[in-house]
Amino acid sequence: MMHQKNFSYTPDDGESEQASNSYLMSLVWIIAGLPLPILNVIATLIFFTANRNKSYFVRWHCTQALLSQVSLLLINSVAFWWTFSIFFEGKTISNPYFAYILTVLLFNLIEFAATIYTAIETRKGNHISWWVVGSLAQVLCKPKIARV
Amino acid sequence: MKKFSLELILTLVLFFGIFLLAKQVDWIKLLRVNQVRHQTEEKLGELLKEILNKDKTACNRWEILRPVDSLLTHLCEANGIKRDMIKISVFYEDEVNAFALPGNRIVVYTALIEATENESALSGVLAHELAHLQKRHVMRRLIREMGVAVLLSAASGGAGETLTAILKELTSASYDRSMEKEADLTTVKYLTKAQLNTEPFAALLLKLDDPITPDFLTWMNTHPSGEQRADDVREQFRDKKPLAFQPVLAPETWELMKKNTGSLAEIQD
Repeated sequence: MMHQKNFSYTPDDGESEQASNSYLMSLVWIIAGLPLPILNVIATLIFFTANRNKSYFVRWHCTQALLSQVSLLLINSVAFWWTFSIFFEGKTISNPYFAYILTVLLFNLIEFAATIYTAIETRKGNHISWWVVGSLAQVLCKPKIARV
Repeated sequence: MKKFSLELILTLVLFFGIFLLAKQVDWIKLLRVNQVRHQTEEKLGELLKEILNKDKTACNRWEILRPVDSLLTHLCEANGIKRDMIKISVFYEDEVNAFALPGNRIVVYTALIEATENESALSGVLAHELAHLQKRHVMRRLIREMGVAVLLSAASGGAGETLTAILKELTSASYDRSMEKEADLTTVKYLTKAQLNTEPFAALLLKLDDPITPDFLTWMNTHPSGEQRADDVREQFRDKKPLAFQPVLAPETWELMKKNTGSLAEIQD
């Protein structure tokens, strides 16, 4: 699911805090108290945009946090609209619906636990890379090369 | 990038694997969804009937109830519907109206019985409401208009205003076009299987569309575009061989029922 890796340099305390905050932003839905899947993405996107010019460590973790939320947005949106159609449009409740909700809940639970763990570890300056989104973050986020 | 692709494929396989595995479980049975749904609908239907009983006078005359019951029983038996699942009530009311309530209930006003010209037309109305019940249009429409939360709260003894709003919704507003069409086509199927003539039902739909008959406005509002619907009903029947229609009621029973319908004031006089 995720593993600790060596980063190209040791981040300072301020970087670790900012990187850790990027994960905490994805938990904004708890504060908002709404199960709207888009809220987390908006919060992490705002945080990502605000920190896009920060150090490599901060950018890398902002990217990973954003990607994790985007991937969840896809499966959560289907769950949200499926539930909406049952509760407000009178669509029939079915076994596939329950199966899908269970699967989505499981993935959300894993992501939630991973977010908390990564936020704690990143605050300590440890570099945690996730399964799938960590690899994509590695491809998308490169260290800035100083121009002479 | 290769590592990412491989991880993505494995994650997708894991996701759909869990989903397919979970799909094997009969959650509907395990969580007793149908039982809860049935109880909720039943309770909601009872509460709505109580409101009707308070606001209107229920008809207890056997001259009316028996023929209506006979027509409904005939329709149910011919179409393999359990008759004891369907509850029917007749109320004295000047409004030409009939509607379905949650919990497999059909309500007919005496003015509608008075307005129908023969047993096939009245059977058509009953078959139409029966179709709304069988196709779960009543609950689907209520969920769409009010949401599950409101209905659950109403069924668990919620505010009286909510129940009044639900009743108003069911007696005055319309089903959407697709539900009406489905109910009309099912009506034709029910009537045909019961060896009843569909033409009087089509004629009734046309009559409802006639603006010079204001008495019919209520049922017309609940069942829009009568001309088109009458055409659809006739279209369904056009290519089929004419059946030997089987009368359900004796002519004198029908006449006796018609004599006893009308407004409560007239009956009391």
